Amino acid sequence: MIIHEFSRMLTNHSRETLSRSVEIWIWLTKSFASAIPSLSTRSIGPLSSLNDPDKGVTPQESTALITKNYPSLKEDLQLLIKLMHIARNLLVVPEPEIPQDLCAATQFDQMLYQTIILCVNVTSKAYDGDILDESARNKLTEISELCMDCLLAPYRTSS
Amino acid sequence: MSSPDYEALRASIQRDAHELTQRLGDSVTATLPQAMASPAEPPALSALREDHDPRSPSIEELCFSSAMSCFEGWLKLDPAIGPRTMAYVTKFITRTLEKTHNLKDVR
Repeated sequence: MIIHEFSRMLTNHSRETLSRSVEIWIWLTKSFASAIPSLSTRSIGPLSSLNDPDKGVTPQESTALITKNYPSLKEDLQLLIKLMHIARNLLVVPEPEIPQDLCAATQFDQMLYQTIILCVNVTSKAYDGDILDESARNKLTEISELCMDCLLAPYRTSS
Repeated sequence: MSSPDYEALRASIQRDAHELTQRLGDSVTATLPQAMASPAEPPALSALREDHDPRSPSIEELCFSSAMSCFEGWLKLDPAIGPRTMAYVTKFITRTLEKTHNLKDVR
């Protein structure tokens, strides 16, 4: 019981300390700002090509990109999910106004918006199931599930 | 800094440096002892002290921000971050997630 109470106090302290730190929110924004172009290039083509029909990547090319970059994509998406989860936890404190203001001031909300667009694009565009072998299909499914996990991380309840 | 662990570590590094200097010859004799002479305290250890300035970042902030800094380097390849460092980054981020988790009463 005492250990549980001590652990709860430590968690409370860590969460509040981190949630009130401007530096932490800036680093979170910078991490997502670096991750989005990198993940996009490795899955659905460069960000600049997304709105340009001439330079756009076809679903077949996108599928090939994802299967080729599968190990690094998986590793980075797993880290991104953890960062998203931490950000969600930092917003759930007794006085949420402070981290909410910091989140808006550092434009972290804009990064989340961009992440949602990227994940929707990956899950919708990168699927060409008819001509795929079993291994490539599994890789695509796993990356799509990780993208959905990334989107759902803020809605998961902590235990 | 008077921690016995830190002193033991420092002594072992000095011994290694001495052996290395003898093996490599005169080319490094000028630089290594000079580097070992300054008993600089690692910055993270000072944050562990209980009497540190409350305005300075806590150990959690230091670890998490340095992990994110390395993650940015990993993605941008500037500076290039290797897989061993990324293993530590993953560990730090996972530990931070654990520390900010498990808090039902604020919901």
